[in-house]
Amino acid sequence: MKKENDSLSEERADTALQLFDCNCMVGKRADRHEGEPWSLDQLKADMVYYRISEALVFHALSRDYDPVTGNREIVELLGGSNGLMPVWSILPPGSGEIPDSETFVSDMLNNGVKAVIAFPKFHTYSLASWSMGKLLSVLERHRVPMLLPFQQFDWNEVYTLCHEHPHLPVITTGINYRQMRYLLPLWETNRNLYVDTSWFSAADLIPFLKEKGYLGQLLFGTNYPAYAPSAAVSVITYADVNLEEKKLVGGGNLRKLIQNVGMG
Amino acid sequence: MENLFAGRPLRDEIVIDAHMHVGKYYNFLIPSNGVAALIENARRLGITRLYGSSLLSIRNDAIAGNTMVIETHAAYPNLFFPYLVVKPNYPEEIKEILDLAERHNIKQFKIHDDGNSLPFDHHNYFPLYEYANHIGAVVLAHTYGQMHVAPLMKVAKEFHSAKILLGHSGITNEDSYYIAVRSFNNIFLETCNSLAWYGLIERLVKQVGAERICFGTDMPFMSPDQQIGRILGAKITDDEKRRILGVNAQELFSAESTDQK
Repeated sequence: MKKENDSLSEERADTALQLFDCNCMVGKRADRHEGEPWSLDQLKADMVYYRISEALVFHALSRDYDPVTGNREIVELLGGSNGLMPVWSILPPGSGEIPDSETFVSDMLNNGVKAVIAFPKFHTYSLASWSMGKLLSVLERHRVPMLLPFQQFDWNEVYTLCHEHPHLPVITTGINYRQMRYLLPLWETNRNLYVDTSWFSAADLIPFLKEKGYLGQLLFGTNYPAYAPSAAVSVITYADVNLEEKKLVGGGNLRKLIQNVGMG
Repeated sequence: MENLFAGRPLRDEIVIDAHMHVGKYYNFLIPSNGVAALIENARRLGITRLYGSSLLSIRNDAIAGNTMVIETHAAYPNLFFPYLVVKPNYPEEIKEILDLAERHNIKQFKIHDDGNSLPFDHHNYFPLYEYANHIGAVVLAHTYGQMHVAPLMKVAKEFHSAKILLGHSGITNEDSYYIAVRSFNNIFLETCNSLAWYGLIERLVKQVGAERICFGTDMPFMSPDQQIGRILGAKITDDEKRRILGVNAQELFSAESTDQK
């Protein structure tokens, strides 16, 4: 395993962009399409092939089966894998399935977890303060980014979330290219709101957001293994912006968020 | 592959976008700023020919939108080539559109069920299909799986000299696309798809062969950067990529299929 990790590092070092994927899943999923990869070895091989340096990774079990089981699995599975950082799925502490907020976040950080993901619709809970407020406040204090997949929220919830927790980085993942009339007004007042590029790509979108001063809100994401990494990579490499700006969207913006985790 | 990682335009290659649009759309903001920006995208990526339809045609006014794309062709005669849109819920306009096509020697048409609920095998489309069958024209259809592919198979069977190009191939019900291509020699697949399913391009090639697949971007909705990357980064041979990116479309759209005046 060590040899494989070393070889991954060498392969990844030759890319100028140092792509950092914020939207990646591993493990057997309930709704797998035939031919889709699911194993860690396949993920590593694809990262080498498509020259992706790092990734935030959650386990399919934490989405499709049980968050607590999936959270345990992802830490064991990644276990120090070079460039792969575990993501934990959150639940309302009040349901009693995860420990109290302080203990949960402390456990997370001790296990090298760099971000959380929430599936409030899929897992049937509320993101409102009466349900999640305490946990979100602790995550905010530690600057832990929260991934929020498309169709798990409405934009009014996102507004409230960003407003009530201005230091909590909220990364909406997998949103489609038709959401600009929500996003542009939200970004006027909520710069802790980020979007991944896995489905959020339209002609001239990145130069358009650069012009509006929102390049810092964009994070490279693949939505692996549902989507082909080639599509996600080319959105960055072919973007009509300069190399430094490609590096920011490709990994710099996310790297900055991750460096802040635990600093609060 | 190196072009993909370096973000380099394709040079000295035939790259034909068989599915793009011009205009605005009602239910979301389009960041790209008009036809000139789309042309610039093509030049930036190395796309040598664009086949586009008007979104105004698809939504409200086929005649006005079709006139717009003919004017766009006049402005970019070597790069942009128009699809004329036929709307089945305006059957009284279809003869005028076909006359327009004949006058301008346009041999490609676009059909879409946005704004109308008529299936692609509805008899209101028949004047178009009869004309396409007579001259061997291309009919690009917006598709979303079996609900669209099934009626188009009936069309392909009845109008066997019309070339039916299935837009967004493989977006859902993948098997329906494979069955359609295997069943009818006049059905072809087009690749643009914002849902960039893992392995889809490889499966399309494996199931039907690269010879029946054409590249498209769906600009300005989708990112041409993303769509070209799906082909360049696919685990298929360079020859297969070349066929998909342009060689097939060059064969499908006859070279004289434009206004030569």
